[in-house]
Amino acid sequence: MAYYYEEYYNGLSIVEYKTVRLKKPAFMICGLPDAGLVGSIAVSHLINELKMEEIGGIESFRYFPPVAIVHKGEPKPVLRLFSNENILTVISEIPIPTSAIYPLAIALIDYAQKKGIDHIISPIGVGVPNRLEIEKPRVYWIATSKDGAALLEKLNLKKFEEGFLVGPYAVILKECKRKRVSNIVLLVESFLEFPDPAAAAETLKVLSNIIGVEINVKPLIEKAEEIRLKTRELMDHTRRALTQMKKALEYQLPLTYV
Amino acid sequence: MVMSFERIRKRILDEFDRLEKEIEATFTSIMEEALGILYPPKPMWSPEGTLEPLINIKEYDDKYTIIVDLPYANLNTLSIDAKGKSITIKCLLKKRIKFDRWSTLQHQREFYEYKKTVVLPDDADTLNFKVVKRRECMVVIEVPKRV
Repeated sequence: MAYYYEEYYNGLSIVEYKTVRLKKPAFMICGLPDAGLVGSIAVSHLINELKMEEIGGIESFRYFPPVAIVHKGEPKPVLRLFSNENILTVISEIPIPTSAIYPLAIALIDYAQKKGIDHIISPIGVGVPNRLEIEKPRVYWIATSKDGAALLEKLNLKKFEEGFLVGPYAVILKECKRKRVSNIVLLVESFLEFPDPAAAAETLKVLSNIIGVEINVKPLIEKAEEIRLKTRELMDHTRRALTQMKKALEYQLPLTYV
Repeated sequence: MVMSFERIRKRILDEFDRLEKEIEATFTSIMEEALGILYPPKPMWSPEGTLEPLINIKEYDDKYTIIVDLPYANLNTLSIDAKGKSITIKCLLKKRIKFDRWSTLQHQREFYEYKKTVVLPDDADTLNFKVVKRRECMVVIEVPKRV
């Protein structure tokens, strides 16, 4: 695919293969590998279900390992962008290296602003030690804007009040707050070290209500075992990256509120 | 235009901040590379048809627990063998799974079994392990500690 547009952000470059104009309200949904690969599995399913078109990607010679994803004989960036009418998704084929988290978060937010995105949505798995006993994982939320909070309050979900967030989504959240960009964080109870398609399905049900698009999660549930089998290596690499990011802090209570 | 002292100070501090982040990023990437050389990654599958499951080991005061994720496994064929400090977990898949385009070279691969050997610390009483829970192809193995 020929590059139509390329923009550099402090060691990262965002490329587009075609003009992207999103309808309103516009959403950016991030699928970055994290606990239980919840975001990755959810966004991957969304891309397939909504038959989204690949419109670009993100590369970095400074922060990313020298990796090319080859699809149908064509090299692709490790972070890929897909879109349909009013949704833009970001999905990563590799865990985000710790050194790339800050510049990537800043670049994504800036790009979202340029694309007229109304809400950046982060589907996150929060590792809970008793996940094996939980039949239906609960979804919590955080919003950095009144508009975002209004969308979530209607859904009768519990707000995430206290605790640590670690990883790329934590930086996106903080930067969105600082830049007054709407970030909706959906936190679902999940396994930390095992791929968790069931948790991803619960997030997608909530996401469906937020973006106003029906998402059929039945195929995701049916293919859960296959997904768990196929994503073992990505989960293993993500687990190592999360250890480096001090992910275990999420089990700790913030000292300020003790 | 003359810049105020405060603005100059802020610019210097911002520059220090940027440099600090850059040094940290460089150091992290050097460490990541060094760790990669020390512990070269190995695939979680073998051409002979076995898959390595994901596991999670937790230590408690009186025991170790090993959670093993065995998607698509036939748990009736689960076998767990203890020998010394090691526990070997084997389980056949529900049926042989064939992938037409597996891994980088997109070869056809067929898998039939999970296999993983876990080495526990010296105080693990591996001979007295017990399987305590099985759900959605997840197995929890409890290994008591020696008193």
